[in-house]
Amino acid sequence: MGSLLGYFYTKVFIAIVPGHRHSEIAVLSVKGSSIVQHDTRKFEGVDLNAAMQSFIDEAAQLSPLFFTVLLSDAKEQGAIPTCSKQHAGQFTDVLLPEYVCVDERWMIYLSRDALYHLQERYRSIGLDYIFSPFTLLKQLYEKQIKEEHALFILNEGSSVALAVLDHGEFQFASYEVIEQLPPAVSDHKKDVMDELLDDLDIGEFDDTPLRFKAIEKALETYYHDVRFKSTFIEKIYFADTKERSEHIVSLLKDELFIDVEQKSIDIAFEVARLAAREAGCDV
Amino acid sequence: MYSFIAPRPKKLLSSEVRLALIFFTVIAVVLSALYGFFLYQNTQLQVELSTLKAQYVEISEQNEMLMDDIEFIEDQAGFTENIMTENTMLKEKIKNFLDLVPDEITLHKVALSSSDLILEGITADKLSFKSKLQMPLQSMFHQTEVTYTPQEDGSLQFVSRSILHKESRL
Repeated sequence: MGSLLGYFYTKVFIAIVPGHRHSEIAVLSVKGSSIVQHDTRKFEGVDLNAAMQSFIDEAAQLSPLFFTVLLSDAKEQGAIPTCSKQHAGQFTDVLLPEYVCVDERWMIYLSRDALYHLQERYRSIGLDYIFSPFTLLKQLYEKQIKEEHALFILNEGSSVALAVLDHGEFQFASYEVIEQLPPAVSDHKKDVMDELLDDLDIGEFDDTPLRFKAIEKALETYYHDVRFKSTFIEKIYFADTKERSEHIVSLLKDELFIDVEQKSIDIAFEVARLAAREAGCDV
Repeated sequence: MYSFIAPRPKKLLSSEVRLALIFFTVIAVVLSALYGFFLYQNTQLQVELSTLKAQYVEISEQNEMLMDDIEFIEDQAGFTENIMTENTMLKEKIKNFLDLVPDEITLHKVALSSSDLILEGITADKLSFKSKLQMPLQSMFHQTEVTYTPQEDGSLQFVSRSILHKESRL
């Protein structure tokens, strides 16, 4: 009866992607397999504030079938080449992970504590789905993952998620949270920097070197760690949400001598689309 | 499924709408049940009606047969009554007749059947027999035949047969 009635309703997916200083929230309305409308907005701050709450509440009024979705930004998450909880310890230090088994061959995980904290953080609105950035990568490059051997990178506001797959076979993954400022900077200096940046209208601190370093470090682990089966990577698929991504792309091309195919994405929209597919809408 | 958590259950209808739906559903169920009940009752009554109609036909036929029997019995009763009346009349007549037998005539045998009366006896002479017995016999019966046999003492032995024709029945 519920699913029959649900067929007649528009489904609304509200996706939240927290960044460093901003959060992106997308509202996607789906009827059947068609996207009726979508809207993405950027909000100041990472934690839920009045403006975000108001936007979300307004979107929730569009249909009784609304779903709130979060892209996890927790540090204690990743992906490993096993679905066995017993063997998971060989690849990660995370105890008691919540996990999703993919193709019965590899696992996307998140620590139970981190999951609880994420749900607590958004308790006032409630969450229906929480996705890993690796799930998003899988959606963004579904075809390439099946047909090629490549490094897939999701470069988003607060982190870099990368995974190596060879014709659908998972080999390696890494998730790094990118600190916006060097850790030695004090809170007072951070406030001064923020004010200076706002005055100069420069925008966010350019963390390209940090991101590139994280990618380099991950590749080093991939090539040299005996736990992972590795073959030489000849292609990088780079999905980016940041405005100035050409710098990091040229770094990857020049320093690593690898062909890079870059695409800019509306990450909040993609997360909402991921949720729509999870709910059974073919969008 | 790739989400770390499952979605919360969703209420598609407000409490008021749900209440109204439940109300109308209950009404619909009750009305359907009543309709079903009346339909069943109607079917049962139809069956009963058919049975009663068949019984009525059967009873009507029996009634007709009984009426025929009653008619027959009435006819028989009428016929019997007629016969009884005739018999009574006949007995009366015979009694009257026997009362009429004079002293000069002696009856030895009187045989009465449904259609005739046979008298045997002795008479002094034919004349007194004719006048005193034969004439009354002729008035009572359709036909009377008398035969005489002279006796040694001069008297006559007579045998009289008087016939009564049978009534035709309708």
